[in-house]
Amino acid sequence: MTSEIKADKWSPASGTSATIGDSGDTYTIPSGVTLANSGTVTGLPASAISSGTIATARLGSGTASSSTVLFGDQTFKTAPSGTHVKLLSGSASSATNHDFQNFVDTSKYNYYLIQVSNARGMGTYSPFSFQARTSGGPETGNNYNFCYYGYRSSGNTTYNYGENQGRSLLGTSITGDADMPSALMFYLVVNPASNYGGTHGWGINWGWNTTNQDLQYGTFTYRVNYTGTTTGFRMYADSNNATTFDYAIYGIEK
Amino acid sequence: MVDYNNIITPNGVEKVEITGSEKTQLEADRLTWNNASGDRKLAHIKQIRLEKLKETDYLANSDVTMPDNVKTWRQTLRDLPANHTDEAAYDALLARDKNGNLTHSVWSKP
Repeated sequence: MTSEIKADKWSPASGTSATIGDSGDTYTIPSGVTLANSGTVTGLPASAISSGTIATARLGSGTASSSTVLFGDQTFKTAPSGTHVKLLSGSASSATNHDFQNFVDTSKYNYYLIQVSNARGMGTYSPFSFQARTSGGPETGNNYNFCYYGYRSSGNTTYNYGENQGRSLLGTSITGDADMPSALMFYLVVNPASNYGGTHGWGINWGWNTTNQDLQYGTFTYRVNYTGTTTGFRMYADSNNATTFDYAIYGIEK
Repeated sequence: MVDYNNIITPNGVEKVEITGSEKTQLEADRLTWNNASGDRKLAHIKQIRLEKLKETDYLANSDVTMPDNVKTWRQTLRDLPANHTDEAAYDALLARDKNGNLTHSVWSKP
């Protein structure tokens, strides 16, 4: 049975309140119908909006675009730049060499922050070594300049300087004791515009040697004197022992 | 011993066995590292010795007199490399107790 009510105005029978239908009823507004509102609708829950897209102009002031973000003051502002973007992260399983590859994108980043933690298995006083990588493999020529300075809590200050070697050391005397894994953090700078010396960096490491009750830290800088297109790097323990560690690589937006 | 390269890229991780010339070079490098174990320990001993000698360097000043037993001890420290020539001896010199203190009597200042 169908019926139709035609009226110019509908009002409560008494007072100022009225109810439409009962719980569970469905009222359908056909396509093409326009709901004109010259007043204010209150009490409509956000959960009742279940389809369609709310216009960005309804979310805040300012200009919404692919380069702006909505802040808490309901204003669209230019997206922040220069942030750290995580490019790679995970736990490296046991392997002799670890090749971090294809994360370099110099159109977006010249600076990369590499964090290594929970490193184990390198052997006593076996630091990590670093080699720059191109798409063809690690650079193994004697094109690395590096220097590092370290201190060992056993009462010995060490100073070392490397020149024209086939790799750079990432710190001094780092160890991989099972009960106190070592860690390091360093920057890798890849700047093709600077040609020679365009791949370089600096960082710090720490380690613990249980046998000698020896806490160590080291700071280091390095430079790769080559013209290869750096696409990543290789890291390995100087003892060539298999190693495991956790890693994260961040690109710093230009 | 099987050695691997971990190839870690934004697309995932691939583990590749090291073979051929790379394996040959790796084994040579590993042998060199292992053969240098004694040299590394001796270098550590020399670092400790240097610190011990520094502790009594002031006794060589002209306004103080260095006791004979200290002179003898300093000479013993200088003679360590000559009188300790194998890794077992190096290990004995580098031995420490659970608190990290060197246990060999040669390190104790008279």
